[in-house]
Amino acid sequence: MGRKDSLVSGDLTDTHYYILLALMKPKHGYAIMQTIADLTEERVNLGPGSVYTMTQKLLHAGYIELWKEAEQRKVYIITETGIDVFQQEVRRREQMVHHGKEALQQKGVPLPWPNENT
Amino acid sequence: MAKRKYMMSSGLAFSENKDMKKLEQQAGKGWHLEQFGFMGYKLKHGQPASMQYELDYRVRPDSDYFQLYQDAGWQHVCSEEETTHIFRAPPETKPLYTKQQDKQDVYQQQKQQFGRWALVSLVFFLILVTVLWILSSLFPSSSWFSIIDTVATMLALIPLIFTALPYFGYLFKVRQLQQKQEA
Repeated sequence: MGRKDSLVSGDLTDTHYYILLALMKPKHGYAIMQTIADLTEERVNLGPGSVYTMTQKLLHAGYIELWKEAEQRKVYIITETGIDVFQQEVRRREQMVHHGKEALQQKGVPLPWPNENT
Repeated sequence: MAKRKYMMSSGLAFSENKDMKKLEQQAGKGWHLEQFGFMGYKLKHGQPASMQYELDYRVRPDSDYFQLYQDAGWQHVCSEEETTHIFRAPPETKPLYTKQQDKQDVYQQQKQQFGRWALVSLVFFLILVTVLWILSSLFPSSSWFSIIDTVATMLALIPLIFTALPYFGYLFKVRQLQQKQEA
């Protein structure tokens, strides 16, 4: 139930976030799994049961839609609503990172990436 | 003709993992799951193979569901009541659920389903007992009636037991996963 609430409140979990960004281009379930695993170097590694459950939820929330059906595979793509939500989420996460960096600087602790000038 | 044998289930609501482990051991000996049997599984003899088994609950899934699992390396073996599905895969294959929350949601749905059935069975049982009680007070000394009374009560108990026990089984599983998540 917790996940459903997070979809309603607008905050996306890390997995929702990655599924939505993978669906900027149309993909079927297994391609979503592969894209996310490649992008995160296997750090976010989703099983097919998890991907299926989550695409159903995102579909239900109207964040993604069926693009076409080919050889028994359903291909999904992000919707306008999905893009809006994702945009807000990127902003929210950017702010979180910004706050984190500020806090580290004030404490005089080097940033996680000391070579980077921000 | 290939040899076949039967393996009993200890009840999926309680011993899903134990059953899957047993199926994996059997596969190692060449006995491969073929389909569900009465309160258990039918196994078929073949080449010994190292396999992992997983079970998933999903009500009448579309072909996309089976295709996705297949793409990820999980071969669909058999289904029961279009809801309980068993898959097998080579040992190194990524598990079906990498997020514990999703597995918990699956059990949560099973729990609710069995909870509804158990409630219906309970109401039915209570109505029956009440009717029998009224009838027995109308025919106080009839011996044939007391036999019918006993038999009917026993019969009505069966659906109640077979819905209430799984309900508590899934309830326990959900609790277990919740605790694991909090820990």
